[in-house]
Order: sequence, then C-alpha cells, then structure tokens
Amino acid sequence: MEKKRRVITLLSIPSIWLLLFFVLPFTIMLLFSIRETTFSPIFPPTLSHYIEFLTTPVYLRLLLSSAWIAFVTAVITILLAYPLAYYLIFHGGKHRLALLSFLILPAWTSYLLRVLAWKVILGSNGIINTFLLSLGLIDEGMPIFLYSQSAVIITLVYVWIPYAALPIFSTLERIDIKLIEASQDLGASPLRTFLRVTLPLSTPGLVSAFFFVFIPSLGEWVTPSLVGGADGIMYGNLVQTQFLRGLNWPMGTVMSTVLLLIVSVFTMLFNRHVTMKEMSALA
Amino acid sequence: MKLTSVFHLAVVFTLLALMLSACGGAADGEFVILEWAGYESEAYWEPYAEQYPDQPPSYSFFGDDAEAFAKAQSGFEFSVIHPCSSWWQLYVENGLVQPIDTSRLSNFDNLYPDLVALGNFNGQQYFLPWDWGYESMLVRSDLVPEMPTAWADLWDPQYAGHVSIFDSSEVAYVVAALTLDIDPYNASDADSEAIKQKLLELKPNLLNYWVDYTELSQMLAQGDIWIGANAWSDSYAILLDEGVEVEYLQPEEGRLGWVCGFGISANTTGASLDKAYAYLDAVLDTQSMANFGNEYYYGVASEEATKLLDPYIIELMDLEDPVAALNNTFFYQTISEDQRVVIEQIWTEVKAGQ
Amino acid sequence: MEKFSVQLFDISKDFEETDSKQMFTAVNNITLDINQGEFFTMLGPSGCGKTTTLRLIAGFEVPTSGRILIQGKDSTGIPPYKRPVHTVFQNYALFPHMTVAQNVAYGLKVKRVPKTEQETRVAEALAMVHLSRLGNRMPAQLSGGEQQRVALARALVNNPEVLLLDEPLGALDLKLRKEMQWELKQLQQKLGITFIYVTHDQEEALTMSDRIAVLSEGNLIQVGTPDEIYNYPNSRFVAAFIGETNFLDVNLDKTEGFKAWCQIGGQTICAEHPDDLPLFPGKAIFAIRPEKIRLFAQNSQVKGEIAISAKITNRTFIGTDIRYVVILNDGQKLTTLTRLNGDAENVHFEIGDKIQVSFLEKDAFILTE
Repeated sequence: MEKKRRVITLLSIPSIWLLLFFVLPFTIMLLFSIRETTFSPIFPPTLSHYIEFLTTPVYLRLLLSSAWIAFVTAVITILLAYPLAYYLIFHGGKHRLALLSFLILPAWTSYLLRVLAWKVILGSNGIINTFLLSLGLIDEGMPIFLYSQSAVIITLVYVWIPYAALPIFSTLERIDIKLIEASQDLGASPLRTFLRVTLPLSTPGLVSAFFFVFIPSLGEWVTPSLVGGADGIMYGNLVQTQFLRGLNWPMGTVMSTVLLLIVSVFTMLFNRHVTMKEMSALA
Repeated sequence: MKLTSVFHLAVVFTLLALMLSACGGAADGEFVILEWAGYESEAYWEPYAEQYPDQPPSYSFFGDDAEAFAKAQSGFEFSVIHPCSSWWQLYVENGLVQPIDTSRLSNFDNLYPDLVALGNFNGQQYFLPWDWGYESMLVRSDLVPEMPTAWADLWDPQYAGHVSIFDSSEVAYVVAALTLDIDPYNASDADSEAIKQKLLELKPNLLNYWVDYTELSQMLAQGDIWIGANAWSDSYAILLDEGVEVEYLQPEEGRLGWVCGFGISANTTGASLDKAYAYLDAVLDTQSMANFGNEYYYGVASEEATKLLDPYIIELMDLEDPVAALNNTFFYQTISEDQRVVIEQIWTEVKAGQ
Repeated sequence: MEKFSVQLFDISKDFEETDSKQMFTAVNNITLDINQGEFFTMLGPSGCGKTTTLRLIAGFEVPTSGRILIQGKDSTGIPPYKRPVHTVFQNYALFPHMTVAQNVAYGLKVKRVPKTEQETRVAEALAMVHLSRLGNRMPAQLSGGEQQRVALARALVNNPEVLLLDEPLGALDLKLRKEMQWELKQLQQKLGITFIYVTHDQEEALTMSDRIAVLSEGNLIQVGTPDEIYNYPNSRFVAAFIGETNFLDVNLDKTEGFKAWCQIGGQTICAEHPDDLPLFPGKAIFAIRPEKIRLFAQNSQVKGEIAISAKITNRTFIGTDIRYVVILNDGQKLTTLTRLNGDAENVHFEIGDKIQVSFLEKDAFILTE
C-alpha cells in the first residue's frame, strides 16, 4: 500500500514536471562535469575539472568578487526600495496599490531594453555626462560611467528595485498600525517608533528582498557583458565563455554546479530564517 | 522515501541523461551546408543553381567557429562546412572532413597558393580558402594625441580607457605574442606564461571587450574609444562612409589576416557528394567570389576574382598588388586541440583576473 | 492639582468617506469635563463616536475644531508621544517581537529610566496584574486575558495621569470579562488614576463607572452618574439604551415647569421630565422601567399608587424574575419585570388574567424625544 501511494505521488504532474525540467537537466550537467573534454565519453570519469576549479585561484576569486557585487547590489537595492515601499504603505493612502503598480511597471518591460537604456544614460553622450557638461564640471563626455563594476551595480539595482519592493511592501502592509500607535502612545517619537517597532517587524520582508536580489545577481552575465567592460566581468560571463567560445563544457558545468550549490545553501538559510520570523511577526 | 527507490530513480535518470547527451541533430539525405549567417545568398553560387534548379541547398547557420565545431563534433549531419583557418586542423584531427579531390574542381587553380597551403594536411587538401580579410587597429586619427604605429602601442598608457579589443582568446593571444616577438604557434610554457602576463597588463588600458562589430563601430564613431582592435575591413568601410575620421593602420609588426574556407563532411557520399563538388566549384567561380567581395568588403582567395572587385574596394584593401598584400599579412595558422586548450585557459585567467 | 483631568471643548471631527468622498461627522461638538481620579465611561452603540473621541484625547486623530485640555494644558496639536496619557487598545497591540517584560518596559526605556529602576517597576507592574511569572514569554504564547493584562501593565508602569481604555474586554468570554471588570475597578480605585473607558456594553458601564457619557451618532446625549443615567434619562435614546424601558405615547394636558399631566388608562398621572427642560402641552412620551411596575389582582385594593386595568398577554420565566407583557384598555402595551422573592402575590398570574398594573408617579418620567 505504501509503495503504491509513493508511485502515484511520483507520477503526479508536478512531480513529473520537476523530474523532467529540473532533475534531468541537472543530472545531465553533472555527467558533463566529470568528462575529460566537451566531446569525451563519460567513462572514464575525471574530477580534474573540479580540482582545477578549486586550485586555480581565478575561479574562486571571480566567484568572490561576483558575490561582492551581488551583495552590494542587494544592499543598495533594499536601501532604495524600502523607503519607496514605506512611503506607499504609510502615506499612499487608498492610492497605494495603484502607486505600487507604477513602481512595478518597468519590470514588465523587456529586461534587455532596460539594461540598454542604462547604457544610453551612462554613456558618454548620455544624460549623466550631458548634465555634468552643462554644469561645466567636465570638459568632455567620460565613458567611465559605463563599462565598470559600478555601472553593473547601478544597472542591476535599477532592474531589481521593483522585485525588492514587493516583499518589503507586503511585510509592511501586514504590520498592525495599532502597534505603531501603541509605540507612540507610550512616548516613542516617530523615529524611535520606526527603529524599535516598524523596522524589526519588517525584517522578514528585508530578508526576502535581499535574497530576491542577491541570488539572481550572483549568476548575472547579461548586464556585465553589456555595461561591465573589462573590470565588470562576473562569474556568469566566464560560464558563458566556457560554454560558447571556450568549448569547455565540463568546466562550464563545474562552475555552474558550484554556483548552484552555493545558491542552494543560501536558499535553505533563507527558508529557515523566514519561517521562524514570519511566525512570530504574525502573532 | 526508502534508499532503494532513490537509487532506482537515480539509475533511470542517469541512463536517460546519457542517452540525451549523446544525441545530436540529424537531417538525412539532404544537402546541408553549415554556414555563417548571411553567406547564403544565391549570388555566391549561381552556377550551382543552374545545375540543380529548384533544389537550393539547406543551410544551418552558426555565429562563430566554436559553435560550428561543437555542432559538427556532436554529430550534426552536414555536407559542407565553412570554418576559418585556426580550426581546420581540429576538423582534420577529429575526422570530421574528407580529403577533397581537387581535380574535380575547375576553378581550383585560380586560388592563391599560400592560402591553399594552409588547408593542406598530410599531403591532402581538406579545405579550400574562399574569403579572407585583414585584422588591424582602427584609429580615430582626430582624437588620439599621437598616432599609434604598432600593435605594441595598444599598451601605451596615453590611450588608457580608450582602447577596446575583440573578445577572442586566439586573437588576443596572437597579438600579444607578436609584440613579445614570440611565435604563437610554437610557444613554450614559459612563452605562454609571458603572453598571459602581457595580456593582464593590457587590462588597465581597456574600456571593454567588444563582441559585435557594430558595437565596435558605434564606440569608435562616438569617440568613446580611440583605438579598436582587431577591427576588420568592413568596420573601416562603414566608418568612412559615416564620415568619421579613422585610419586603418599598417602596424610595424604587420596586419593580421583571417581566412576561411570550405570543407566536405567525412560522411558525405553518393549524390550528396556530387552536389558538394558542384557547390564548391560554384562558389569558387570567379564571379561568385567577386560578388561576395563587393558585398562584404572582404578579400577573396582567387587572383581572377580579385581583379573583378570594385575599384573602391581594391583601394581600401590595398589590393593593387594582391600578392604583396598577402605576403605582408600575418595569417592565422591552424592549431591543435592541445594548443587550443592552452589558449582558452590563458584567456579565462586573463578575463577573470585582476 | 488641576480640577479636571481632561477637558473637551466643542470638539468635532470630520472624516472623508472612502467611497463617496463625502465628509461625515464622527464627533459633533462635544464638550466634556472629566474629573481627576474618576472612572469615566463613554458609552454608546457602534459608530457613535466614542472611540474617535478617545483617539482624539490620545492624539491619534486631530480634531477638526475645538480644543482638548489635558491636566489644564492645551494639548490639541500635541502628538501622542508627548501627551501624559496611555492607551490600552482593544486588540492589546502588544509588540510581537518583544517579550512580555520588554513590552512592559517599553515606555520606561523611551524615557531612559535607569535599568535597575526599570526592572523594579516592570516587576511591580506585572505583580499588579498578577502576571509575575510570565515576564519572559512572548505575547503569542499568552491567552487573551493574559495579553490584556500585559497591555494594562505596559500602560500603567509609566504612571500616566490618564489611562484610556478602548473596549479592552471585548474579546474576552463572559466570565473572564466579569472578573476583569471587577479587577479594573479595584485597580483604578487603588491607583487613583483617571480612567477613561469606552464600551458599548451598558451593563459594564453601569457597573464600573463613576460617571457615564452616552453618545449617539457623534453627539453627546447625556452625562451623569450611573444612577442619574439610569433613573433620570434625558431622552428616549438614553432610556432605551440603558436597561429596559416602556414607552407610551401620551398627550400632555397640562404642564407646569418640569411637571406634566396626562391620561393613561383613564387615570390622570403626573410625572416629571428628568432633565432641566420645561415641558409644553402636546404630544410626549411617557416612560417607566419594567421593574418599577407591580401587578395586583383585579380586585385588590391598591393604596397610594396609580392602578390601571390591564390584561396579561405574555408571561416569561427568566430565573430571577418573571416578565409579563400586559395590554391596557387603549391598546398600548407594557412590559413588567417581577422579581421572584417569595412574594406570592405577584407571581401567580396567567395569560389572559385581568389585573391591575401599579407604579409610583415618581418612578415614571416624561420624555420629549
């Protein structure tokens, strides 16, 4: 009986979907990672690429610098998205959902278009340079805003703000306004109330937002390739090279697998944290 | 779930995965050409169209050589392929192409002997050169404080932040080797290490790596970069057309040159093989090649065809004396798999490194 | 010490309605004086403006017009965190991310009370509400009654001059509610702090309050002690809202100041208007509470009281009392409530019996609206 039920569960559509589109590709990836070269057979398998990944400093260094870029992006995004969401919730009144839609709207347009828009803004003939020129602060357009790590961060922050604003918005919305009133009633000024009540209670939203931004940014390659220049290369770019021009699929899958592992660890941490905090916040 | 169920599942999926990863694409019995996107115009193979009316060849396109090679190597069925010289040896080493019986081709003798030699392995002709072009530095003569004269000038700090190079492992490798006076095709381990260091030293001068030649043209036109390497002659033509003040350098170390050509799949036989020879002869036809050269601002590998090129192009490409031009150009030689791996590894570490 | 703890002068509050964008008046020109140390209740049905008034005193709403004085100081524009009042909210509003002790200590922390003193006062406050052991629990782990007491402790630990309570017992079950009513009253008397209490439960109000303000639709109808409100309602609304009252339509034949004469069941009855308003001849309402009406057998001799013939149409036994509904000769009905206390005379009537209803003129009153 037990076995029969297991089989049925396995055959249910979500299971099949998961197996077909997640487990299977992942297995293929793993099988590639143990090959000698892109076109070698699977046997004899080799761990040489894993070893190379761990022993050649460039890979780990790039992973770390990409993690740093992702981290900075996530922090800045939250710092910008939080006041926006806060304003919507506490001062938006009945218009707040409509205003939220405006905030989210850019996310509905093409991701590539938005990145390219930043290429224009940051470029030597773009808005920033034109503005600085008009102020007389510089003599000629500087392409330096574009093609740098900063450009990558700026662009990614812009892309991610709508996605970060959503969990913050929803968490803030759930905060009982009576708690804010109670705090003020007990003598706490609005600033103190924010620091002691609102901010701690919005932690689940902040954590969600952080991971919403950090995890995808870690593997980013489109934005760095368009606006990153020589300095803004991220981990994802290297993976792309391995798969395309480099014709080194085993290395590419090794790099991807490592990234997947790291992201899984973060996701598990995130799940654990959110569950506990959510429970106490909803009390 | 019990451990045995998990184990069974794992086995099933491993087998599935093995099967799927071994598959390639396949189109049986047809005449398929693996070609660069855009090269399929009938103007380049008119004689074939006359011989096989209403039977146009099927094309499968690729964007770069690595993609073409990956397709071929993983079993994609094709009849004719058009890769560039660096990869020719790899195709031969992996048994992907068959020797060409040049006696079946009426237009074979027109081809430049030096280029033909590149496609010859172990006394057999595997690839026929068709199109070629320069790679050089494209310079905004009105923006640079001082005109560069050599590949080595890419490293000159006075151009810092205004240089862009092509995102290609091989191109970077060869350029760096030239500036260090190393033969890129006979490099020792110490040589390769030196090349890697040299490329790392270039990074501070770079604004970015360009991937698309329109991107390169745009950056030069806007003045964001002053020197673009390795630019092809079509970019030069485009920018001149837009009225931008650019110069296409003749560096001290010499211009680089790429050449691409046709090969026949090892698996092509029978009627398909006849079609292959007919097609090759058609593209090697003088008029076909001239049509192509005039369209793309590239050189063509045939003496007669070169004479038929537009005078403007002849002047642009310094082709008044084509043989001299070819002799002054450093063409990309073929490389082995081992060499390719080394070059890739260097580029990976350069791009990822600080 | 100021005479009055809180004073409201002509306070009005208008809100914009969400859908229609019309303005509606939640509080309409209320003037109130609340004495020091009194247990003052604002009573009324939902939507009468009592909660809004409380929030105006707390500072969560700004009045559209009028002034609020707290301890003699004009507090109209002052934000809540600067007022010497604390609130116990209906849903307790305990901070979920802090322990009970941290919740209670919140106000002290804000005032930068030294840590040792904080601990002492928190312990005292928790002891006062009988929750000493629960300092380290999280609010989510407490029952409703316990949470309510934490909310109380949290407010009281700061020694406010005025404590505002917004229907704090609403979420508790009946037995617990009665217990808490008693406890709150004891606490208030012990501490001597002014309590301003909001409820819709008139029994609660009567039990606990020193004085009650009855509100309806934003207007202040009557202010008085429980006795005054109960026995001398100034309007039909108050009479109907507090306890049970019989209303009969009558015609006032003659009036003299607050006194009026009318006819009921053939008898001439003289009753007074409880409020300080003169009466005029014409239509009016005659009111008397059911428990003030006594029933006699048809042929009994009723001395010194009004006696009107009636017939019993309904009889309900409700444990401590029997409720009768009787019909008079002119068709009007009266409800009576007879306490079962061994007085056999009043309890053996059946439906259909013809009896006499009797009451004292001083127990009845005339209302004009």
